[in-house]
Amino acid sequence: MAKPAGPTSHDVVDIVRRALGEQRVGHLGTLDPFAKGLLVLVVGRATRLAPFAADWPKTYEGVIRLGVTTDTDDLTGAVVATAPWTAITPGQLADVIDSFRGAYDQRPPAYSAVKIEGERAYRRARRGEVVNPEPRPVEIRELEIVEAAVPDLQFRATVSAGTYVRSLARDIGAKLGCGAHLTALRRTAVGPLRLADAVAPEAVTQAALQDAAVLVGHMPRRQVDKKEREAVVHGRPLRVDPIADSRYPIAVFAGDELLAVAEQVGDLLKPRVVVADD
Amino acid sequence: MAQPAVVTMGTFDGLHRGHQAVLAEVTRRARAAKLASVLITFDPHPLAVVNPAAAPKLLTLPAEKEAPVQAAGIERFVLMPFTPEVAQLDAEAFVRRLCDEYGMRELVMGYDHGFGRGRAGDVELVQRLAREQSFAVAVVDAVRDNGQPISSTLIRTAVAHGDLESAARWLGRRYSIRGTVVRGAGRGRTIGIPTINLEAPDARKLLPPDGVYAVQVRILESGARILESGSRIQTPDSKLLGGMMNQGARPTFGEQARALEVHLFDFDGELYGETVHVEWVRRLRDVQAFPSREALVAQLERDRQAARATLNR
Repeated sequence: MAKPAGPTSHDVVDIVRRALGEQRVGHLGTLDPFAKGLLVLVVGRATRLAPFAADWPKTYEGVIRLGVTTDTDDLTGAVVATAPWTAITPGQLADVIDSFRGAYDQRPPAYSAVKIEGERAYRRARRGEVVNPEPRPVEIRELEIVEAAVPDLQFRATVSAGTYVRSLARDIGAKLGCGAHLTALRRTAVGPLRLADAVAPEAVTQAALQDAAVLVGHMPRRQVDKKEREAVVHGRPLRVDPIADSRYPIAVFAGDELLAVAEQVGDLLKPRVVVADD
Repeated sequence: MAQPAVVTMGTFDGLHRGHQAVLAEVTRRARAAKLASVLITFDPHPLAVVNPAAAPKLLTLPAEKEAPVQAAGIERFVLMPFTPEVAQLDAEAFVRRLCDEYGMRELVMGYDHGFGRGRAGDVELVQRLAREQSFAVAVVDAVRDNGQPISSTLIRTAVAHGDLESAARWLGRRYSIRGTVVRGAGRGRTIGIPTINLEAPDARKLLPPDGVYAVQVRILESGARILESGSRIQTPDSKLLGGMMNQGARPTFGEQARALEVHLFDFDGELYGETVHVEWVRRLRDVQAFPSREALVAQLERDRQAARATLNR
C-alpha cells in the first residue's frame, strides 16, 4: 500500500480488510500516522509468512529539523527544548552523519509501541510517566544528506528492521548539540518491495495482490515433483539428503507455486508453514 | 621474519560475497599501509578434526580456493594444516603465532568470526590481544541479501537442495567443481551425444542433488596438446562452453556408480587428462531410467534444448 500521511497503519489495514472481505490482514512494520509511503500488507495465508520477512531492511526519505527537540521526536509532539544550530559547520555535520553509519545501540522513542514491563511505552508516556525504553542494536546501512538547507536536513537512509527513524533524528540532533526532530518521513522500500509498485488503499483489489512467494525470495528453495507436492501440502515430511548444518528455513516450490516453508531435521524436510491448497 | 602483513584467516568455505568483503578490506588496508596481504585458511576443515560427525561437506576444496583468492587480489594464500596441535592452541597463542610467523600488523575479521580452541577468540578478546601485542583489528560487517546475512551454511543449504540460482547470487559467481577428465565408456558417442567424464568427485565436496543440469565448462589447462596417439588438438582458451551434465548413477545402463558426465555444446574434441572447471547453472530434471535407448535419446534432445535456453538467457 502507498499510505498517505494522516491515517494510522491500522486504519489502512481496516480499509483493506473491508475492500477484500478478508479478515486476515497484517503488516510488515507500521508507519506513523504523519509518515507516508510503502506499507507492506500481508493477506490471507500469506500472514503466516510475515515472520520470515521480519528482518527486511527499510529505506526512507525524510526531513530532520535541527534546533528543536519534541517529546515524540517528530512534528506531532510538544516542543521540549530549543537550541541554536547556526554555529554548526558543514564539516561537523558530515562527521556526525558519518558516525551514524553502521551498528549502534538505539533507544526507541518514548512514544513507541515497544513494551516496558509488559505495557506499551506510549501508554506510559501519555500518562505523563518518564519513559526510557531500553536501547537495542540497530544498523544504519546507508545514510546520506540529500540537501542541507539548515535547519532542515533532507536525508535518505536504509536501516535494519527495528530501527526508529525518529530516534535516529533525535540522536543526530543530540550529537550535533542542538537537538532535532523528524518533520517528514516517506518509506520508499521494504526488502525487495518498492513504493513505485504500491497501490492506494482505496484502489486495492484481489488482482493488485502480489504472489506470496516474494516473502520467501531470500530463502534457499527446493523444487518438488507432483508426488512430493501431495505430501508437502498435507504437512508430511520428505526424505532428503542430510546436511551437516541445517539451520535455515527452506522454501518448497512446485514449479512457480510456493507450497510451504520447511525445516530440515536430519534427513527429513518438515513442512512448517503450508500455504498451498490440496 | 615474515614480511609485515595485513592478515585474515578462517575456513572461507565458498569464498562468498561476505568473504569477498573481508578480502577486499584486507587488500585495501594492505595497499594503504604498504603491507603484504595474507589469507590463512585451514585444511582440513577445523570441524573435520574437532568434531568429524558435524563437519559439513565443502563448497570449495583447497585447490578450488586459489582462483577466487587471486581474483580478490590477495598476495599470499596460506593453507595451514589444521592438526590436533593447532586445534589445541588458545586464541592468545594463535594470535601470537600470526604475529611471529606471518608478520601480522593488522588483522581483518568477519563479524561472526571465532577462532582458537572452542572458538573463544571472538572480536572482544581479539581487541584486547591487539592492544597487548600492538596490532590493529578491523571487523567487517556481514553482506546481506534482504536483511539475511550471507553465510557458508546458507549457501550449503541452497546447493544441497538444488537451488543453484540462489547459491550463485550469494557466492557472487556460479557454484562449481574442478576435476580431471577421465576416460569413460564412450557410450555417449554411440548415441550421438559425446560426453566428457570427470574423475569421481572428492568425497568432501558438496554436490547438489543428483540430476541433469545445464552447466558451463571452462577448460583450465588449455592450448595445443599432443595426444598419446601423436595427433595435435587445439582446445579453446579458457572460454566458457555451454553444456549439460548428468550427475549420479546411470540407471539405463544398469550402473550404480555416481558419475559426472558432461555433454559440451559446440565442442568436439578430446580432453582426456585436462583439468576442467564445471559450473552448475540450473537443475533441469531428476535422473531417470528409460525403457529404451530411443526414449533416452529423445529425452536428451529435450534436455539439450532446455539447457541451451537456460544458458542463452
